[in-house]
Amino acid sequence: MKPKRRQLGLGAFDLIEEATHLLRTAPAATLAAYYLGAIPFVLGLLFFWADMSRNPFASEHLADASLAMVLLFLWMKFWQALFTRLIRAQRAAQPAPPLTFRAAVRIFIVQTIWQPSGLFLVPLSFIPVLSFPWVYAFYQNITALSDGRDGAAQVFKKSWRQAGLWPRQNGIVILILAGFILYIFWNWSAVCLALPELFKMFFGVESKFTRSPYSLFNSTFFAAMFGLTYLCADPILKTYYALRCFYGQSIESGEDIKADLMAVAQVSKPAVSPISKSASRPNADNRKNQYAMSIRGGDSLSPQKAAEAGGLQ
Amino acid sequence: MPSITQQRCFNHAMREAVARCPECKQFFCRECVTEHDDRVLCANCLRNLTRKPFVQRFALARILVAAQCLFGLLIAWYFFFLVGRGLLKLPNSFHEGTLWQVNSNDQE
Repeated sequence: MKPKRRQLGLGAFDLIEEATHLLRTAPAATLAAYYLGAIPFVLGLLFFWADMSRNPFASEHLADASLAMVLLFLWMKFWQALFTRLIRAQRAAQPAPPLTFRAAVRIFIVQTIWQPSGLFLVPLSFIPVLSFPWVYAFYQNITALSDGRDGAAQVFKKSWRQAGLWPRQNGIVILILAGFILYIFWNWSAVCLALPELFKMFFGVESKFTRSPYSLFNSTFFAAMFGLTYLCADPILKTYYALRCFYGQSIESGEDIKADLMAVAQVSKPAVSPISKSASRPNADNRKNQYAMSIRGGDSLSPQKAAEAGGLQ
Repeated sequence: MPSITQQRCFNHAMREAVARCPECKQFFCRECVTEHDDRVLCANCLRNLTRKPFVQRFALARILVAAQCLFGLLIAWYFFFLVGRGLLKLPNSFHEGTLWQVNSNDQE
């Protein structure tokens, strides 16, 4: 990025595009890290929802079920932090640092300390007094910046700082992705509403939903659609905030420049290797002449200088 | 912002500045800065960065971290408890999606 652009931040569309590309090229292990945490939580939430809305004895085990949901929530946040860690390593063109037991515990502690307050504060931030993009970015940054090296206070400090960075870009991205999320929700709803009819059409399976399509419009159906939408859209959001933090921290650390230089070095390697390969051929005179010609632009060197040049190779 | 060539060292007013600390944003001469973790930092900021964090300095702080975790856990527990209670309180017709349907007997 150019200096002025580094201060202003990347454009919203550029960053969404980069996040999508990064996610598309991410190895399966990175996506597995995300879904290992998110799928159990979404399934648990659906079970909790259905249980609380249908079971007449649900009030008897409400406290136990809530505690199970908390554990699933923290489990998800832990894996999301690992996912963003891998995404950041991928962007920095470096292997992710090995995850020690100590680092894993620290990530879990940081998530346990900060994320629960977000359950209340993020919905409350829709009240105009609190700025939703800022609060939302803060809690996403807590996930993105918890790498197992910093304690809770440092992660809070860094996330606070990054949340205030490039507010316009953050707001635009949230607006765009809100539209995208709505679109995914409609898609999933349309597919799931059409499924019973399709089953009847192709396999002759008659069900309650084909006899009365309106029976699909229950609260569990909408909860399931929200769950599916979350599983589809949230990895993009997490990648976006991981990238935002990466670029935000790069203003001071220059990590983005290092990653770009590394990428340039990797690209230029194959261009250099044919010369070095030809230089290592047994025909020494040919090698020296080639090197000399490349230096002098066609003028041949004396054998002595050419020998020195060969030595340099 | 004036360029670094016009700046003087924060600690030594007579010396030319050669670097700016990315932590405190002050200018320093070559004797006052050092490289740490691929960054050029001033001595003060380096000391602050390498100082053992609060948690490691005091064993009591571990209890504080445990209390914070417990507090976080309780907040999340209370949130899901409220969600569950809210779901329990909603009428069955809402969950079944029949809340908005008009009963033909009522119409007559």
